[in-house]
Amino acid sequence: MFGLSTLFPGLDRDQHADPDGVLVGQARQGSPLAFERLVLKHQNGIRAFLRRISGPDADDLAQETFLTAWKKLHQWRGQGSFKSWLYSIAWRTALSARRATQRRETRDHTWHMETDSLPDVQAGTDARLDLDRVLAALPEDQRAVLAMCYGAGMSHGEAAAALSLPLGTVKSHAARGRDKALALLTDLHPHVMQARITP
Amino acid sequence: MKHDPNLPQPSDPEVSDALLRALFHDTDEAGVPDQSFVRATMAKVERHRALWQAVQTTLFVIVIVCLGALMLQGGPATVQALNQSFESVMAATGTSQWMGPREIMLGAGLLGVLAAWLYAEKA
Repeated sequence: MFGLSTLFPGLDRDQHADPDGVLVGQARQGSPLAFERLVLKHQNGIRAFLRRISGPDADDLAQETFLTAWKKLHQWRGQGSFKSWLYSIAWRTALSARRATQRRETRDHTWHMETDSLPDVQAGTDARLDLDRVLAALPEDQRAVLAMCYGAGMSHGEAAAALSLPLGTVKSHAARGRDKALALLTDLHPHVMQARITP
Repeated sequence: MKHDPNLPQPSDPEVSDALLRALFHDTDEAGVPDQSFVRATMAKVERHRALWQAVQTTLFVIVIVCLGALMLQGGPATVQALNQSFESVMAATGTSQWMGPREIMLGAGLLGVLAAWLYAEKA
């Protein structure tokens, strides 16, 4: 009849302040429909993020991400945004998959990000076509920060929470990664980038 | 590939931010949800949900049946009977230690706690 939130209205304020809070609450009570709406809302962003940090297995990892989120819904307390929490699961899922891949295929070089050179990049017809390949040349933390802050529209704080990194580190990764990505894209497409810089 | 410093670069960080954001936006696929992806994901979620419910229900039934058997059919007498069964198994297998009545009652108590937890989860 009277829940704790009725007696103490501020008790679950944080959870309901999040735009996804109501749906998460319903999903926690076992509503697959509510969870499906969350999947519908976030699937584009999560899949794009995973494509940028893990490549062709992105959709499998995205499904695993949502399944893990369903299992652990009760762990989201509403302190941070649900979006940030979901991306942190996606990030950990991608890291686990990478470790498993590295164990299976020690000679697989697809995850060797700590390099200053672009892996055999041939310039495409437009700068946007090469963005993912340029990102692949960045260290994985920088790439994840760029994918979150520039691709998924997350704030530095949300990215820091999702990646479990200090805020200052995220800001530094964002600035350095951005400059490096733009420099590499300019090398590949000087005219296209010039047109974009000075329209 | 090394970057050529003579090539043009945006000098203003805000311009760089906007430029990179625009490039990300251009490479994003259309914002229409992929229904097949959503269906496949929800199928996995439903499978997990059904499996977990089946496990919970099975455990719940087992615990209730065990408790019912212990409590309705004589309590301590049942425990004694169980103990004798265990002792005969011990004798057959040469095991020197087995659960006594105290351990069996403790086990029943733990099962009771488990049953209460499962009941609360289902509710």
